[in-house]
Amino acid sequence: MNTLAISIGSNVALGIVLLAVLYRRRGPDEVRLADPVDALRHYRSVDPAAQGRALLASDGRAALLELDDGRLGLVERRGRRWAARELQAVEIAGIAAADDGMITLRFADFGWPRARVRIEDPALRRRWLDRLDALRAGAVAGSSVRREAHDA
Amino acid sequence: MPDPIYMEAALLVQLALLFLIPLEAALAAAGKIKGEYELRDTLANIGVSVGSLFFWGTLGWMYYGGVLYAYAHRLYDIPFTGWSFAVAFVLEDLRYYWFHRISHRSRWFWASHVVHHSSQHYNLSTNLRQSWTSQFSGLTLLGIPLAFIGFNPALVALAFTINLLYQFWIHTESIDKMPRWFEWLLNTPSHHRVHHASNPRYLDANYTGVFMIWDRIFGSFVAERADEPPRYGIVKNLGTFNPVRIALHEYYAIARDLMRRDLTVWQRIGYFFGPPGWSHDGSRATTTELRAAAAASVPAQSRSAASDLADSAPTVTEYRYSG
Repeated sequence: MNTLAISIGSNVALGIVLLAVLYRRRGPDEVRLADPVDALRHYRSVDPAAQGRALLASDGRAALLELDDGRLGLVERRGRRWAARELQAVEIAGIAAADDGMITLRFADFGWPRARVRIEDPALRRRWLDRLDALRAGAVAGSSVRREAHDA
Repeated sequence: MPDPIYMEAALLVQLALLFLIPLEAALAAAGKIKGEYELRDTLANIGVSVGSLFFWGTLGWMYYGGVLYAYAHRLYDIPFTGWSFAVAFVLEDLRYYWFHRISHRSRWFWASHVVHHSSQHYNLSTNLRQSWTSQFSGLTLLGIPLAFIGFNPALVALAFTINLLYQFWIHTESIDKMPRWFEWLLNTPSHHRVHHASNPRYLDANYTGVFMIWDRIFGSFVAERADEPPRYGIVKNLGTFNPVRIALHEYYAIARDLMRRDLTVWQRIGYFFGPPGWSHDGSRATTTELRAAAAASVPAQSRSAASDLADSAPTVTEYRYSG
């Protein structure tokens, strides 16, 4: 029992030391997408053959992609790394736009509940909101739309 | 139950190993060794670890109970000696290999194991990110045959513990390669970096716990290449650092798939036990399909390709907001 107590106590102490080290050496918050090629390169982690167009968020922390086969994609910063996903109609639970240009996507995905993409240009933001709304509306009509587009 | 003296020794060894985590973090931050820690990622690892310890502490009896029950009905009486331990250790490693391979190849078991692969960083603290649900998945049943053959449960538990403790040091970028004989025989940081990578070439490889011979025998060995650094994490990385979401997200995804109304029984079974990424309409990709797609788009991605990587830079016809 003494060993267990020592182990637990030491683990807590070690955890505190570790977090203190990491907090002191956390570094500047400077991870940004460099350009659309960078965005597509990150997207290729989920679709190695993807080609298409990319719109970088104004703050460089995310990108929306229009792939050549008609599908849509998303790349978003997660800490100092990047996460990517295809935007599928059935997974989009909500879309909201704020006055500051932030588009918030809510996903029916427990491992990725929401994403934020800031698009300050009103015309571009409107275009993408329409695109996303149309995608989501397609879920009501049937999720096979995406697949047919892909096959075509 | 395992002999307390072994568990005490295991706790002390574990404690000694844990001291290496802040040491690695400090040295990596100072640029003395290769490696990267991120505060939120490490916090998530610690959070997941707390949950994992809780569930092992409260439900570990399910595993040990099964082992004890099997031992009560054992086929032989194998004495607790150095030789029997050596044999049990090798067999335990073989059990681990198949436990691990099944954990990657069937979605129900992957839902439990994906937790360990969900970090996009690779350092000693990644060890802390362990499953909460290994007691539920059923794969712990694979531990029972050793006891059923006649190996003492304390010996089985010792082999199991040493196997896990061995795997602690291989979760690091700070060690490049070990000597050639070591790399051939044993699991190393290089081999395990491949296992944690999501590059198509590296998917579903290097399942071994200790002895690389299992991967070589069963055809799952892939060597780390200097021209293709591992990209850590899972194919579809998570968008959260929340430990509860990290631990349970794949179960949620399985439940969503099973609740679809338009599926046959076989399709539901496919979503439950099929390979991760399987879908009834082909709208997702399994790791096998991802490897094939990558090999088709970039021939050098094939595991057997000997040529250097072709230039795989994406061609982008793009628009870019520049306001």
